[in-house]
Amino acid sequence: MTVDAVFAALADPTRRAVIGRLAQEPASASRLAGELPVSRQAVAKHLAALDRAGLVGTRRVGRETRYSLDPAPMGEAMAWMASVGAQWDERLARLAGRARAGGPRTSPAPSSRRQPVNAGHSTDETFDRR
Amino acid sequence: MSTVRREIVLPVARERAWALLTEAAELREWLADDVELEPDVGAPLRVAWASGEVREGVVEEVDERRRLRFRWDDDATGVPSRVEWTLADDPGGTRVVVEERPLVALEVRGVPLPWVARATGITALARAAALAYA
Repeated sequence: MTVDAVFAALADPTRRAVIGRLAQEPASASRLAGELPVSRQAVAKHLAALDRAGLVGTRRVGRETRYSLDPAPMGEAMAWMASVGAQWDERLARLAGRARAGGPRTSPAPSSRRQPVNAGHSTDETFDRR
Repeated sequence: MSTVRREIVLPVARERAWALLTEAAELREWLADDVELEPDVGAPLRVAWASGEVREGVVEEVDERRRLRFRWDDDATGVPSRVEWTLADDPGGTRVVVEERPLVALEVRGVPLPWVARATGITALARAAALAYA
């Protein structure tokens, strides 16, 4: 699975509606078609795209296939981590510049607060799936 | 839990690194445009950026030249979090580990939230996604 597949899957408003619905509880394609303003065929097509992106899983219940959300590829937790991580990358780049600049009295303040992120620090990131 | 972790080696001795991380005048050079922070347990913390963003919090743990832990609120995301800076000697100077973790459970909804676009832009999001899949 690729990141592109996830973004492509999320780019379509109908697929986002399907995801929003599945976030509440698992449902069959027929039920989704009944609740969303799209045909059964269109729902099946969108579910297939979401499946390729790894965003939904399936489970047989009796005679029907029930779809459930697999939120791991993209969720609020990940979004929060992306935001917070990017902020620390910027701050630590400035911190490294400040450290390299020498003592507090001998060096002028950095001229720019927006230095490139090149401080040689690792971008180790952990993402524990819940 | 979702923890953001960053590590950096500063080419300075531990004492200087501690100053960079705990003196308001130094913090204003790299953390934010205005910083009020005292390395005392229970001391209030206020961090402000020129953009108008302000975060307030409290210092929770101080281990001189080793560790500073604080929590702060983030009105932009509505997610309060805890930040810990840990210092250790390193052949290249002082190793600083930054960890930040949310203090509330983050919903996993499968779609980016509105604030994400404002806070990070899609580039940071894509970067994190790339990291997660690496």
